[in-house]
Amino acid sequence: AWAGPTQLTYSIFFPPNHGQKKAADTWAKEVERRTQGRVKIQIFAGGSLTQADQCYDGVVKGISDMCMSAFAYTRGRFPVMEALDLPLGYPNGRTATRVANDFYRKMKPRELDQVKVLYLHAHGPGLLHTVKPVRSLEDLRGMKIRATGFSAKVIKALGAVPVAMPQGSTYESLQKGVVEGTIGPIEVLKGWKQAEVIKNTTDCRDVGYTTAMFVVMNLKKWNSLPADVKKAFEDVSDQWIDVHGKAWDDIDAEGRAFSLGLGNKIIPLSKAESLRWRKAVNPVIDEYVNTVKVSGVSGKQVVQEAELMIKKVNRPAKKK
Amino acid sequence: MPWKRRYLKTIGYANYVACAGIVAMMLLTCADVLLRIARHPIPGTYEVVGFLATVVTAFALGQTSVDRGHIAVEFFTSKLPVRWQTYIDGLEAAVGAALSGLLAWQSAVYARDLQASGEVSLTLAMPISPFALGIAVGCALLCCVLIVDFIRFVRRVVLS
Amino acid sequence: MTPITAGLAGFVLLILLMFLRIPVGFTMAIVGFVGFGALVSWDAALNLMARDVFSVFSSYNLTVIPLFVLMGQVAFHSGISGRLFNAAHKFLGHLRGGLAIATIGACAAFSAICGSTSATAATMSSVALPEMKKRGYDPALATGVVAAGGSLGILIPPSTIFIIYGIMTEQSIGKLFMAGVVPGILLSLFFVLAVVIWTALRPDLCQKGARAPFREMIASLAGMIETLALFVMVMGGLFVGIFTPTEAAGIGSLGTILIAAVGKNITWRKLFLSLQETARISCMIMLIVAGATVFGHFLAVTTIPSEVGGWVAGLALPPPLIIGLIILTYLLLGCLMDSLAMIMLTIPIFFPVVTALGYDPIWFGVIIVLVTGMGVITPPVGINVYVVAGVAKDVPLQVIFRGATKFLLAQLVMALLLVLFPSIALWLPGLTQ
Ligand code: NA
Ligand code: NA
Repeated sequence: AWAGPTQLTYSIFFPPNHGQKKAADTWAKEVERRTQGRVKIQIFAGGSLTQADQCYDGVVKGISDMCMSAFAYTRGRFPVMEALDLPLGYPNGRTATRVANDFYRKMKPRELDQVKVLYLHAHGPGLLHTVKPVRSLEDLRGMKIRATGFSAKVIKALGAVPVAMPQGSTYESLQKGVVEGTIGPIEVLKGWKQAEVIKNTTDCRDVGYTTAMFVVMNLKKWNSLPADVKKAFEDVSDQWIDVHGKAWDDIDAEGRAFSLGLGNKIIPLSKAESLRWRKAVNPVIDEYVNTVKVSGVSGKQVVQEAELMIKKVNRPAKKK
Repeated sequence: MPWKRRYLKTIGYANYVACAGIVAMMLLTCADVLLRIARHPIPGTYEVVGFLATVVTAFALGQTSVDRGHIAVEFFTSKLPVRWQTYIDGLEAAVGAALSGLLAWQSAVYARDLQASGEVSLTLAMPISPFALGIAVGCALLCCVLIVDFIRFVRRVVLS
Repeated sequence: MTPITAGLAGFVLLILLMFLRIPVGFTMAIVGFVGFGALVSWDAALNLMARDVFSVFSSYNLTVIPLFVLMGQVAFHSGISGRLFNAAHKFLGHLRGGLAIATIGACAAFSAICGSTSATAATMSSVALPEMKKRGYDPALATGVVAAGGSLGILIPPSTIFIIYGIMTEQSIGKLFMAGVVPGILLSLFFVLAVVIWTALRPDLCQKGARAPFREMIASLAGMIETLALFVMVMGGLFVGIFTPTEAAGIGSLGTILIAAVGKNITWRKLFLSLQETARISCMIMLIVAGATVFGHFLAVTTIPSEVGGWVAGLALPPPLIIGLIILTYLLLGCLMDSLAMIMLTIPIFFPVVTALGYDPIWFGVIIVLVTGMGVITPPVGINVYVVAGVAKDVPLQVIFRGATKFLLAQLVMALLLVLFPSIALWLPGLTQ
């Protein structure tokens, strides 16, 4: 019997105007279109239904039907997927996003068994943004850099001092000198206006980390959907992997242009210097390899798999 | 009533923990700021201060209720006859006890969920579940205070 | 039941429970829980409540509340604030409402180090209320002044709401902060004007002291030194970039204890008393914020904020009328919900409309902060009023609401002026371009 459209709530931690939230809007519209209006998706952005670190759990418990958040906000909950956030040298958002999805499909980690994974995406390389220019590891030594979680480990491995604070406090802290730099994809320079208070970006993409993000649905809700609706969800999601990947690269390009427009500099690293940076962050990867024990897979396998995928995904892109 | 004294003492002790938590928050913040000037900030200050705040609030819940510290609208009830007001006292205690009991139970369940999920804090990789459990304990204390209030109400109504 | 009917039913239940003297934090949590249960599922509602309480209790950004409250309590118990207000009394005591005016000045100064309305109201209640009470001020006037004065906390930088608005709408946070300065000072003056008018109409609200001899005035200045030292220390540290506004709370509280200790004005007993009061006040505030969060999540799923917003945004009216209606919408929503949730749910609807009408996004940010400041003092959900009630245990809630809403008029006048003369907000940020 026809009972009206299935209403689904979708909690997104990104603020309403963020490129990824807009990509999610188009995804939702496409799902509604392909299901001929049998599904209606209501989006709650900016954590207005569940906060970033509560999104996933909120879906498991049915507080929202779907959510988009980052694995990194709930450290320890996704030991296998966390490997994606290591500083493996992601060249851009599209690669990182493809790798994330391929990696998930290959590993199918148990940690995501409680939900239906629709798709994943991941931001472009996390780079270093500083007030004083950083051309070498020596320049970076002892600098106070805003970083949390995994990126804090990267900062420490590079010889700087990680200072944890909410992203919202970073602007003022950079402005006043509480911190001397921050690490993140270059889009934060525009999205969080931080370009106004830094002067330089060090293009250290060879140690570029990412933050992998998920779009998941409550399993009960998923199982209650008819087969053709499920198929529509899966088809659109497959198609939107590259939409999100491209959205990351687009906002990275905007962030770059915004920062350059304000007169900031982008400092490339020489091959030799890049190699030194790669060496410096190795302990972070080793630490993951040595501490992560998930039944069935070793940390080493997990990292190797991710590294291999970056190479594989990135190769055709380079041919262009 | 010796049990009553013991019960008030327990709630008082919990409040001491809350006070100690405030001092710890303050000292940790200042130490972190000072050491950061020397480029050696204390790792994880940000998350530890947040967790200390959890302890402060949770362990102060009982005493705050004993001190009648929770805000309520008395405008309407103060105009009612005394007898009605007694019943409203009872209602207030019953509703509050039910809510805090529910919260204590759900926070304990949440603590168990957090432990099972393996979730830890971002920088220090500290387990988070004990703090959810702390909230459960604080809410349980609050629930006790309100149950005692309710028993008082029942006695008053029965005696009168 | 449609979500909107559920929302209206929830509102009725909220009023009913509040009138039955159920504590306001509990009331909001209960209505939020029942409403979310009815609309989504009971299991989800149970889980939501536990998670919201945990999020609020463990929120780093909210740690400014206990720490600033401690600062205020120590300043009170050690007599630092008493000496400050004594000096203020010597200078302004011969004016009607002089101490209320001094309190507004103190709120404005404190807003320069604190970015939250509730922390400003809580700290200022601790230091200013005992002084006004001592000098026979009417409770409605005394509490109303601090509740309203607390709203300056987000208009004068630093400001949590400007930061959130800046991130949501991709505006420069630095420019937003600067845009708040002039309206913040103007609003303080309007608050002063409100005090002057109110006390002129009702001279019985406060006594007018005799003019103090010049020598006494000068002598009283010594009593301001401690406060001045503290203010310079915290402002200086913020300005030079030694600590963040959140950390300023910790520095400020330890600084107050040290200054009190240097002046031999604090004993272990007084310190312990301050701590106990701090625990009680901040616990009460946190419980209310947690309740408001649960209630806000229920309101979000009722879709009322987005429906109302969408309706206003879709009206074909002249631009100033649309702006007026938007302000009115915020005034109504602000009666019901916590500022953060309100902003998150409505900015995405209003912001595109306002910018499409050709209004400046920085200017609109100031409007948003201004209406948020109204929301914290309007009944039934007025966080600042609850906070003041928690400190002033002997003053009934409705008396504080009555006092605070007198200042609502000042805020409305400020909003009107901003609509008529946007340059009040845009002049200062424009200078730096
Ligand atoms: Na402020
Ligand atoms: Na209000």
